[in-house]
Amino acid sequence: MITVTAWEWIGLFIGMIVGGLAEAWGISNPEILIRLGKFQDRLFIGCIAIAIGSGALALYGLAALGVSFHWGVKPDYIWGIALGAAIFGTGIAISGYVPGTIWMALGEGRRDAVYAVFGGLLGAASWTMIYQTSFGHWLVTYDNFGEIYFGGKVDTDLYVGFGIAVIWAILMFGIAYMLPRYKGGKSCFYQSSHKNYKPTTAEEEQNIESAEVLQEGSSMPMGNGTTAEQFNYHYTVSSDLFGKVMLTVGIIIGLTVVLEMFLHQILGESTTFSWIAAELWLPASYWKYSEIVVTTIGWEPFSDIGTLFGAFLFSVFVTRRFQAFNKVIPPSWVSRFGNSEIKRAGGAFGGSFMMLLGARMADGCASGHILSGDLQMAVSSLEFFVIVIIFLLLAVHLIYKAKRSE
Amino acid sequence: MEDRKVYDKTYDKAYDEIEKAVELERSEEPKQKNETGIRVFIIIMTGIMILAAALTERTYNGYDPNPNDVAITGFFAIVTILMTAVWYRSKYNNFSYRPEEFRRHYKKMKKDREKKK
Repeated sequence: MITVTAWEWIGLFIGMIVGGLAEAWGISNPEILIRLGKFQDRLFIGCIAIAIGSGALALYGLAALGVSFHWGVKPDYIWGIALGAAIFGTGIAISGYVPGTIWMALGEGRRDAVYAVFGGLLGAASWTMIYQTSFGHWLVTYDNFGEIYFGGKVDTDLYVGFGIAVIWAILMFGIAYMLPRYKGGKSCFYQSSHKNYKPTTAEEEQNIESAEVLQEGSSMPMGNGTTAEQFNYHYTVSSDLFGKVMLTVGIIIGLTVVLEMFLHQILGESTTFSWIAAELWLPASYWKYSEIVVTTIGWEPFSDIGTLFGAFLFSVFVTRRFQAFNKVIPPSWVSRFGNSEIKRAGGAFGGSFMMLLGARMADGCASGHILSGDLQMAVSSLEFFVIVIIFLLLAVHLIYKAKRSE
Repeated sequence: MEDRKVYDKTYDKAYDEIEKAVELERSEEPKQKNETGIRVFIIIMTGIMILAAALTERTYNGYDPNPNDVAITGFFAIVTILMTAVWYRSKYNNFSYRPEEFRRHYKKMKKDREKKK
C-alpha cells in the first residue's frame, strides 16, 4: 500500500492551481453563478462534470490498484443535508458566491467579496452554535446512513467502485458533451457533428456579452492582441467545453482533487470559515462543533490562502481582470435592485451568511460536496448537488424575474 | 435549419461589427504602461509568503494547523493584494472597465446596418 501524507503548507500550491484555473473559467464572478441559476450560462455544470468524470476514473482506478487515499465521503444524514442544501442554493442565488469563489473573488480584488467574507464567517459561526442544540443534534443524527458511496461503505469493494466510476464518468462526460453552454446555443455534440458549424450572430453576441461581464470593473487596460484578450474573448467564453483549453482545465482540476486525496489531505473551502470562527470567537473547549473542526481540519486554511492567491496571480498576469476593489455590481443584480452599493453589500453579506450556514449544516460546499464528493461518488454529495440546483433555479427565478422599475 | 441559413449569411458581417466595436472600445482605454515594477514586487512577495508558510509550519502534516502560522501567511497574501490594488489605481488613474462603452458602439453599428437595409 502506497501512503503519503503531505506537509500542510504544500496546500498553498494546490490551492493556487485550483484558484488560478477557476479564475480563468470566470466562476469567481458572481454574475456567472446567477446566470447559472437563470439557466442562461451552464459553464459551471459542464466544467464540474468534466472534472468529476476524469477524477472519478483516476481515483477508483488507482484505489483498485492499491493506492491509499484519504477519503472525504461525507456522512449521508438525509434531512440535515437536504435542509443545508436548500439554504445553500438560496444563498448562492442571492450572493452569487460559493465559499471557494468568495476567496477567489477577494483575490481578484472584488469589493463585494469583502462583505461576503464577513457574512460567511457569521453563517459558519451560527452553525457552530446550532450544532450545540437538540435541533442541530437531530439534523446530523436522524436518518444518518454514514459514509456511503454508490458501491457501498466508503473504501470498500473498490473493483465494483471502479466499474461504477466508468459508468459515472461516461454520464458526466455525456452531460458536458450534450448540454449546450448557453441558452439557445449549440452543444459540443452538435458542434462536432456539423463540420461547417459557425456560431450564429445571437451566439456570438452571447460570447461577447460573457466576455464583457467577466472584465467589468477591471482596473487594468487589456490592450489589443494580448494573451489576456485571447483568454477573455475566446477561451473562457467559448461554448465548446471540449476545446483544448476548457477540457484541459477541467481534467487538471479533477486530477488535482485526486492528488490532494493521495497526499492525505482534502479539498474544502468552507471548513476554514468554521475554523476561523473557532479560533476567534467560539473556542473548542466549549463548542462541540469547533472541537470537531479544529481536530479534523487539514491543510484547508493554507489551500484556501492558495486559492485566493492563485486567483490574484491569474487575474494580474493572465486574464487582466484584477479589479483593485473598484465598484462593480453584477448586471443581474443591477437590473433587479438598482445600482446601490449598500443594497449589494447587504445581498453579498446576507447571501453568504445563508450559503455558509447551509454548507456547514450539510458538512460541505461546492468543493467538498459537489466537486470532491461527487468525484468520490458519495451518496450524500449527489443528494446535496440535486437539491442545491433545484433551490438555486427556484430562488433565482423568484428573486430576479421582476425587473426594477426606474 | 432555415434560421441557421439566415444566420450564416449575416454571420460574417455581424462578426466584423463585433470586432470593430471591441477595437473602438479598446482605443478609448488608457494606454498600457510599464508594469515591470509591480510584477517584480508580486513575485518577491509570493516567494516571501511561501517561505513564511514553509518556515513556520515546517514538516508538520497533522490535522490541526497552527493559527499563527496561517495568520502570518495570510497577512503576506493580503498585503500583496492591497499594495497591487493601490498601484493599479494610481497608475491608471482609477480606471475601471465599463462594458456599456462596448454596448454603445455595437448598438450604433447595428442601428446603422438596419438603416442601410
